[in-house]
Amino acid sequence: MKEKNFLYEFLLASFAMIVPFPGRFAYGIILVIVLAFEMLSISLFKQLVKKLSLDNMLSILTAVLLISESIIFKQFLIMYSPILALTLSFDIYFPAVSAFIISRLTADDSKSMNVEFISDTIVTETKLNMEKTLRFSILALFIFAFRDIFGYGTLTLPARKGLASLMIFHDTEKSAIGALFASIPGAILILLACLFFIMYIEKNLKVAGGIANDDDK
Amino acid sequence: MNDIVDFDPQTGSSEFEDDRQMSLAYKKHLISFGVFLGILILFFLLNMIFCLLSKKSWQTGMKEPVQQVLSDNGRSNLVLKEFEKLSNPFSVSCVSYLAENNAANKQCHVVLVRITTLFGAVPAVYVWDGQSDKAEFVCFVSMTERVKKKLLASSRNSIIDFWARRVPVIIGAGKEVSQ
Repeated sequence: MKEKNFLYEFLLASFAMIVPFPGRFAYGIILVIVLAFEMLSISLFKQLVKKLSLDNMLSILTAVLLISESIIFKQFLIMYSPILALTLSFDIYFPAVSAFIISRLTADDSKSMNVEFISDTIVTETKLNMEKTLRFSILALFIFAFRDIFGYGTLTLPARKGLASLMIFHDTEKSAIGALFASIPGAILILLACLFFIMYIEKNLKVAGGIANDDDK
Repeated sequence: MNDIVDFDPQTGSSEFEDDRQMSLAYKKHLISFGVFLGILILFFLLNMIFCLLSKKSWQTGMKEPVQQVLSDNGRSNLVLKEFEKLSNPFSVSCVSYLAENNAANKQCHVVLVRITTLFGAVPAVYVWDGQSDKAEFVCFVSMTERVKKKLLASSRNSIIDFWARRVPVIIGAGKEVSQ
């Protein structure tokens, strides 16, 4: 069940965030910051909602929180670099949708963990949320860096006037092949390759763990 | 109503024994709805404040990168002047500036629009003279040479051309393409 959940979350978060975002490392950094901030705030906001005895309105309030946070974050981005905000436009609301669904799945996971007190549930949920966010963030940053370096030939960082870029590969006839990774089909290709690799490693680790347990017996 | 007083229609009784209990229950529900409404208003106010704070940056912050694109593409005769307010939904993904053409002593519109291509969303700069039914594409912002070549090859006749015809309509002075 957990494995299935991970697969759903991974696909949901990736297709909602990694694919539509422009394939530059700078946008990856923005995405990771938004997602981490939203996942953390969901966990803390749940605690507040429970204290206010508004449990029956939790879903609506969480949705309102995420939408408001996305709007505020976009306004901050406009104040820092309006050109980045214009490029991202509606894409900046995608992490909110993914964060909402991931937090719902995490809530189910923590319920099944036999925690005795509400405070323990919150700590467990926060831990699970942040752990998942960290795993996804590492993967997302890797994909964005790969696309930026091999697709565009640069490594970019967010800057006030757009993107601050460091040229890594200069434009040659051969390097033009790498432009595939900068495109949307290229992003899907890298994403599926990463998914296959992660699932393969996890499966092998489980098999190795199973053999080790049998030897202990 | 049934949810609030937990009224049982078969026996005709409710869980409340007297009016005091019932009014306490109503009070409890009213408080929670008040808190809920308070949270909504708080978020709404926060959004309003931040939208107002970022307004100036949105209007002026893109001038310099757009001017840079114009200079890099042999359009240094165009000098950006004031921000043009767009009264349509495109105002969130499109910015327009009035520009002075020093060489011809004419005014034109320089438009930065977010277009969706095979390589994701890209901001593109267009120049519209205010009369023709099509704007002129200048270049993309923050784009490397190799991807720019591929982008131009794949979308010059489709997406770039579509937006060139759309820009006059967005600015509000042009005619619909279909007409």
